Amino acid sequence: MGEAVRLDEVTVAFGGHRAVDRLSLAVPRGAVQGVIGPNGSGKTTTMRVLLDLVRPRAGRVAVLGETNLARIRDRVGYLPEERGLYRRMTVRETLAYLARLKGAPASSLRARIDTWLARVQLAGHAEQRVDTLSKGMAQKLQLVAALIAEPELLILDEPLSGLDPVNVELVAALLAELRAQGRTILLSTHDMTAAERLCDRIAMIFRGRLVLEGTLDEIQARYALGRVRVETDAPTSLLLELPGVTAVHGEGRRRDVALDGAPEAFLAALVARAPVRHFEIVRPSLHDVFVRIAGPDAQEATADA
Amino acid sequence: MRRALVVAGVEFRALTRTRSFLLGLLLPPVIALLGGLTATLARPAENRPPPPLRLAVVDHTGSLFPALELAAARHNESAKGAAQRIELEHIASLGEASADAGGTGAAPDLLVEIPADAAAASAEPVRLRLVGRDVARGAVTDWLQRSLQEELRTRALRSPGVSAELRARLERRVLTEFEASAPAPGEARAVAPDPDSAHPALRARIDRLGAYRRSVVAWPLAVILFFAVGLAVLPLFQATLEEKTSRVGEILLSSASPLQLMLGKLLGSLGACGIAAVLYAGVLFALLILTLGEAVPLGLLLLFGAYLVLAVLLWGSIYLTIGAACADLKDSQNLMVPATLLQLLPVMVIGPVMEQPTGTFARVLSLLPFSAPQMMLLRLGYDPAPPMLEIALSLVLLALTALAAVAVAARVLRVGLLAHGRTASLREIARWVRTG
Repeated sequence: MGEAVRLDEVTVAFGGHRAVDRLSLAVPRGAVQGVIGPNGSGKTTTMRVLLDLVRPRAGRVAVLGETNLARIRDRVGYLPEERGLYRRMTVRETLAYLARLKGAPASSLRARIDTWLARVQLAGHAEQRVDTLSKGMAQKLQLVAALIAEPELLILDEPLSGLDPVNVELVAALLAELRAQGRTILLSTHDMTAAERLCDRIAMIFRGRLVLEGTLDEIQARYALGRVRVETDAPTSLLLELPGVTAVHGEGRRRDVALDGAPEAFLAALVARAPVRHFEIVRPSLHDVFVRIAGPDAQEATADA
Repeated sequence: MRRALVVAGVEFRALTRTRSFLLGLLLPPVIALLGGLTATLARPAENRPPPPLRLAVVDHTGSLFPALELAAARHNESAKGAAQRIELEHIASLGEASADAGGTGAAPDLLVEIPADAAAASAEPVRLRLVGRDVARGAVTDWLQRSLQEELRTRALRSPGVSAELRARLERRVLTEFEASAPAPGEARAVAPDPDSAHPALRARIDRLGAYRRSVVAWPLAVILFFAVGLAVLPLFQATLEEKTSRVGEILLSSASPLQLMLGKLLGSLGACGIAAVLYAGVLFALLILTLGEAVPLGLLLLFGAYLVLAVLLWGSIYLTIGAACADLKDSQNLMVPATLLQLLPVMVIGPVMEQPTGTFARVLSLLPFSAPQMMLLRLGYDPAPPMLEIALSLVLLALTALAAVAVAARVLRVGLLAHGRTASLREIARWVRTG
């Protein structure tokens, strides 16, 4: 399959500030790559680098196998974080303009626009002026504007922000459809649940540097909490006697047990002493990982360092 | 080029579909018409021709009145501006008409009685009797004296007693001939060699226009260029500012390079400018052909086209740069005011240039890229026409400046469209140009 995006040791600086610092990232073709990170961490700048909007001070960038990014403009769709459209144009004029800029053939444009508008439930609004659309409609229109030329690579900066739950579902379904078609999607988001749900791989950028990259399973394994959840009649005092147990949290039958040893050994010892109705290894959510990396403690530690 | 053409098409439609463009298209001719009409109506009363001076003449000689009539006709033919015309009426006696001492009614302003001995061969002065208002007398006395003296002198010269030789000597005329002097030896280096010898074909084409045709066409073309360029390039500023504030610019830059975007916008603007220019110039040439039977001066038209294209590139780039560098309309005033003043430069200096179209001031302004299009077209309306070398030099300087402006605008556009929410200082713009 190869790589749709490759960044090697890319550095972008504005004056004395390094917005992106020796960042390396490879996105496989056909994957949905999530990019997470706190505000101002360099996500948008990284996306702008891929679009040739910002030139890196150092490093190497390849998109769809091309290092000359001007050559692949037609093959990349972009939804910026800061949204805007020509207010006085109609929906159809807007899409026609942006599609033709991307090289979409004029002959099939009308049908293509109608298909895409129907897909996002804007079929009756083609001749409406953009400034008369609701915020949600305008956001869907912008997403269609990024998709209308049917690009191989989609770069979406916060595609779900501001959408109501119904439209979030609609866009999520659309992205799944595009993924099934083999298109590569690079999306940044602050919505950790959406990232877990939509992305095959997740990269986290913090202070311009790549601090995390992998599948969700890999990340959760790497940031495992050393905690299991059990449902048992055994009292807390018994649980504390078992090998590797450092603490027990919660009341009642279902409790969280902190371990500093292997969960398998703990489970074997527990089964020998009491009946067990439920056992699971508690995995960290992406939200937990995010907070551990970029939370106040981490920021203070970084500042101290 | 495909992307630039797509942008050009959209920009052209956006520009020409606005009410302001249509108004701008129609307003200059209407303003020019109303301005001319108002100027005529508002002309001060003292500049209007005064009513004619009416003279009732009693000619007792029976022969001098026709000579006075001829003199009055000559006087009236050459009377211009505030000069008073003279109307004569031949009456038989003073009793036939009475002078209108109060200056009312249709009565003559002055009664003139020419005595019977006025035509006699005598050396005695002729005494004319004038009856009427003193003001009227003062205005006409000198004319009456000169006209009758001239007639009496002519009659005397033609009398049999005067020899042909004496008559010829007395009627000897003084004529003038003018010949341009060659430059003095000391002036040879100061005067540029005739550049037209290197461009005989083009020189001949320009010369064929003739001074009269140039003056009829060149000046209006300069005005047309000013209006058409202004009409097309100012909206570029607003469009770019809107793209920046609405964040559309980022999407556009992800689809086309800054240069492609720039060229598209400038081409669209050029199309709109072309419509205005063709409309205005079309009306001008139609009037020229219909009223004067003059053909369209092709050489001047080509120069007009070249200046128009370069002026749109230059000013369009300047306004695009300002639009990309500013965060909002209010902040843009710091850059818009000097740019607009610079664009108005030709209007501000048109008076001195028209007074001395071949002077140093006019020549410098017609080479300065910001005023060259209008100033050079204006100078082409006067004789002697600017040398071909100056025309070529002004075109080259304008083209180089326009190209530099396009390059600067493309660099500022690249960075400025992404720099949301803040207006760049001149220092920042300079940095963008260096690093963009």
